[in-house]
Amino acid sequence: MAKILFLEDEKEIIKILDEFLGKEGHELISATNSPRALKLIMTRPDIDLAILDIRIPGMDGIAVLRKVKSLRKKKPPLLILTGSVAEVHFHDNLRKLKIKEEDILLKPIDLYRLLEQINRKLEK
Amino acid sequence: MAGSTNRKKRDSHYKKIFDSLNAAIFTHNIKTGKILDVNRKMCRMFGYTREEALKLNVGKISENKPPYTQKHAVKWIKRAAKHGPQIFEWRAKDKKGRVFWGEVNLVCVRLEGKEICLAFVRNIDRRKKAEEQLHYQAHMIGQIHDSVIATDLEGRITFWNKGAQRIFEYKSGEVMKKNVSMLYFKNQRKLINRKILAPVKRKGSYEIEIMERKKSGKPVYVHLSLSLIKDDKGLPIGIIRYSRDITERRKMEQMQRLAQLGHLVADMAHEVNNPLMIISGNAQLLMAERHIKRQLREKLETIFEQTQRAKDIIQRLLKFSRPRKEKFKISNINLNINNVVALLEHQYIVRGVKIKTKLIRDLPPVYIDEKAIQEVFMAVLTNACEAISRKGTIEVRSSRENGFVRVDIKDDGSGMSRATRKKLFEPFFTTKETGTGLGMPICQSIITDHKGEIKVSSAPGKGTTVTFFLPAHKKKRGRRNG
Repeated sequence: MAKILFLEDEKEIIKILDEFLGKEGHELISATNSPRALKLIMTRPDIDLAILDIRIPGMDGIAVLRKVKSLRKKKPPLLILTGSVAEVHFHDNLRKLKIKEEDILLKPIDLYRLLEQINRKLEK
Repeated sequence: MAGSTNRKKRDSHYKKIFDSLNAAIFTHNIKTGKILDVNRKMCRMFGYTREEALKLNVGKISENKPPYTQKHAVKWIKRAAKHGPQIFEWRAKDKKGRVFWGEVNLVCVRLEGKEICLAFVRNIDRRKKAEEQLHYQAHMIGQIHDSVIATDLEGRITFWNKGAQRIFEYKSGEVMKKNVSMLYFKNQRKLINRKILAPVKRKGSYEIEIMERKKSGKPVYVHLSLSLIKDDKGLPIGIIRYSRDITERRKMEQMQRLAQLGHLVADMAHEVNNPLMIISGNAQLLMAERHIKRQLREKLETIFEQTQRAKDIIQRLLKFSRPRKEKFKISNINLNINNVVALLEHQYIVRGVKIKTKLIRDLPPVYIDEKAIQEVFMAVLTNACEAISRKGTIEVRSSRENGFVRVDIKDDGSGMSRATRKKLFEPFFTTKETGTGLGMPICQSIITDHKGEIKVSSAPGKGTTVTFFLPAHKKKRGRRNG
């Protein structure tokens, strides 16, 4: 059982992942805004994995990513879940932050594929 | 005594003529050039009294800069004495210091045993200025950066400036008296009369943005401004065509439109993908329930599949705005063709479709994003295969043409109607049940990114040929490509 942080501003999507991952035995900790997600990452060392949407209102997901990447202490592995990754702006920024292509997941994602990716990250 | 009276009469008679002529007249000493006499017209033209004039030398009533000085005047007089009458133009100066152009007519005559020189001077300042103005204007039009072309009413070229040479690559000598239709592509020529000449003749002037043809056969977009040239009576005698090259501006506009579309699509993608995620996620959650009936499960599966299809459409749309410059490299087009053919060949044979290739060796290299170009070939080959209902052949040829590498993909399938062919590159236009209508627009945008061209010829029942032109890559001098 793993603790997974999910940064997502759509409550309906949080509900889906919460139910699905709950059945698979994981605990979903959700944040609907970026500062909250950042605070959780910094204060809860028990978070095993973070899934971030990179186009949410308020602080941009990219900014959260940058902050997380710059943390000195141990940080959770990251997955990106987005609806618009092909847009150049994000692509270039993600490359600069050394996010691998395989860690970028596109909405709407097959939940079972998402689960595979989560497990892959947790095994590492 | 009687002779003397007669002479006096005659003298006053001559004096009358002398003063009433509408030209300034001087008499000069043939050796020194000294002014011996002047007429009334001279006094009016130069602003001196006769008494004042007789004290002047020619230098004083000239611009007095070479070649219009006293010295030069004496030379002219001597020339007239030796060789007979001389006509020349002279920069004269009046009492107020105003310099004007005069036409001088010098004649040497013998009067009462003395050789004297007669100078008739006409003021031609107005004519000279008009000539200079004309010359200046002609020079100016000649030098204008934009194209200025004049034709007669039938379209034969009568004037061609430097700007026209710059834009259309023809020199003046190559086009004079030829018909202006040479600046258009063959398929446009029929329309010139209706689209250009008729409106100008009707309205007197007319503006249009139109594609024209350079000497090299390349297209150029111009903003063409036409006006009728009229003679003094107001009758039309020709047409003047002023055109500005707007090719770059058009390209920019197209790029901007594409970029705008790209942003719009990226925004839309995000907006649409979230609800799609909610639909597909909920469908999957329901499917995971044990008590769900088979019939219901099938419907849920359809919902899930359709959300994935929508996702594919959006991802393909996003490709519109994706620049791929960093992926460009020097490549051989034949290798790209072979790669794609090798990939598709087996699945096509199963369907009864053969792919033949006729590739020319020693083609010049192309500078391309291989993945994107192969995607284009793949899309066109797939269309070709789908156009063949039973058995058939697809032929892929490569060749070189005018600095371009040409690829033809020809099928003997069902072909297209004219209406279909026209809409081929419009986004979301499709004839297939499961098509997205984005394949050909994406192909076109990829080929355009490569500064290439894509052409389609087809007729119902006669198959389709899709032709690509990609610019041949020029090797830089002093460097060898390994």
